[in-house]
Amino acid sequence: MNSKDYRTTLGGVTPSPAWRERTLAAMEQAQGQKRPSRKPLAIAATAAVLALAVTGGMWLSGRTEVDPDGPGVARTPEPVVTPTPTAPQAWNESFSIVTDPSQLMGNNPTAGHLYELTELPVYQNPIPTERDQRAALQGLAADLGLTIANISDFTWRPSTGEDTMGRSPTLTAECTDGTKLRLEGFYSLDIYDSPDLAAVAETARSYLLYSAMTPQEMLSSSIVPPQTSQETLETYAYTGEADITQATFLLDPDATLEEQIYSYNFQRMELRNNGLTLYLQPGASVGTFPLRSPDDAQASFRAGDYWGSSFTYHPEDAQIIFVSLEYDISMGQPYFQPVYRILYIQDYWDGLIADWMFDGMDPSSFMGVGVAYVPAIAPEYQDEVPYQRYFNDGLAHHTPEELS
Amino acid sequence: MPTLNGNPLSCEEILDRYGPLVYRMAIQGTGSVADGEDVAQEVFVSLIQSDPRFADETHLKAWLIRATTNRCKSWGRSPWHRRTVPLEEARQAAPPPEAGGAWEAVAALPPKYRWPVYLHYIEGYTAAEIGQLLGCPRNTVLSRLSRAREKLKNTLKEEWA
Repeated sequence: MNSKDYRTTLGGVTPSPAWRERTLAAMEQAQGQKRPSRKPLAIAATAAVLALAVTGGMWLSGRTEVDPDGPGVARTPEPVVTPTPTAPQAWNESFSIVTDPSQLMGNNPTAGHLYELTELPVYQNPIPTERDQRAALQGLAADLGLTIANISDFTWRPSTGEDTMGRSPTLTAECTDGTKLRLEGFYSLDIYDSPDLAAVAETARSYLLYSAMTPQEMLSSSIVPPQTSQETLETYAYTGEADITQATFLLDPDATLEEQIYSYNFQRMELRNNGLTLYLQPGASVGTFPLRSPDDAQASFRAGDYWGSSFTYHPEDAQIIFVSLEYDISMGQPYFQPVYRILYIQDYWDGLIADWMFDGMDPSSFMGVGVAYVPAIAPEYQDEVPYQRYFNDGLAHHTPEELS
Repeated sequence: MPTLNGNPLSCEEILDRYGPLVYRMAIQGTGSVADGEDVAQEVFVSLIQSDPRFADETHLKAWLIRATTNRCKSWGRSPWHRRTVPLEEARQAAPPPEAGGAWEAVAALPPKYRWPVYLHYIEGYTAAEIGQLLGCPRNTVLSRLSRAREKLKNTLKEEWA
């Protein structure tokens, strides 16, 4: 029995005429029996509390909800509140769901230092040949203590083109212990189906620590090995299930901010969904480019010109809660270049979440946070190093025209 | 009445366009035709009572899918349903027509694996679309499909391909 049988079995099932007749009658009877809507009431000062709490390094959840289906017990009157307005077209907006905005802030070294950076290098993202990838994957497997089982286990998917999210060829292989490896271009290695992921993660961490050191440096008692730092990013599905990414990256507190950002993105590994992704160091620099200011990047977002899977029709009204700078290491990048990552919220998203979360979830526990990406290279240089970001098989570029 | 792009949808139109989707999902989710028919009817009645406005078809389908999965989940928990289980057993609710091991194996999967399998193999959604419908990242859908295939392979003792 396989998926074809499954399709044949269930795919051919259609409603019976008797069911259709009964349901139609029930629907017609239900017309005019509109249910009270279950909109949450947001405390008017939520936005102010938010900004204050984030600045102070903590998060206060002060939202309340009136549930018309709840028990009719006596309770202390709620504070005077203003119903959350639902913005036009809000149903078409998209954002991440969290219980606390710090779950998307991470541990980026640029936090609080954004204005110290005026220029940064941009790096190549080469498109390797199959032969190059095979050699690289064999080497990486050996470095991680894994043995590729058989050359015939390799599968190679060529690049689908320069301007596509499949720009990088992909090579996959299975190891003797069942672990599977997938090398994307030359920039990331996915490790999954490992019988002992914790052991692989520890080896990968050692790889991060020592791959940048020469044998002489490793043996020298005067050289202090680098340190690692961590960050956890967490979002929730409508079912309330958490999707957690645990990242480890090299961090030298004495290094320049430019070096710290480099390590944050390119000497990094992420544990997620029982798999591990190891990011590899990029190709040669194609030059150092001046950066637009953080204020200019925020103005670009406010005007509706930004990238990413999150979207709002009202960027001018959004409350920006956090801005950081990082290299974009998502798939399909023609160059690895710095981007501003802007976290923002909209007060009317509470109402959307109340509708979207599955039954059994307390929507007041959740909030929406949008993530907007704005290229950090000064606009007059963008032609030299074009930026791209993909989502759902398409370019994720939002433009002011979408807002009209 | 619910509206789509500002245009009201009639009950007949709703049933013609979305009846099969909700009907099949409800049968898959409850494990029987009898329960599935009740759940599917509840979903459509709830749609009329909620009177939502949908900007596009994706949102309408997402609403129906979410409402159906919710009701399937709460169906087994409802005291009424628990009380009536013996009766249901007594009348031996019929499985779907020509049901085989595959349908039962998918029905036995935990919901987080079952719905991606159903939406992909029966309704033909891509991983990215399922991610939008279920509110989780595309990669999460892909990994769940992968794990679901493994579980189905173990249950059915043959490759799920």
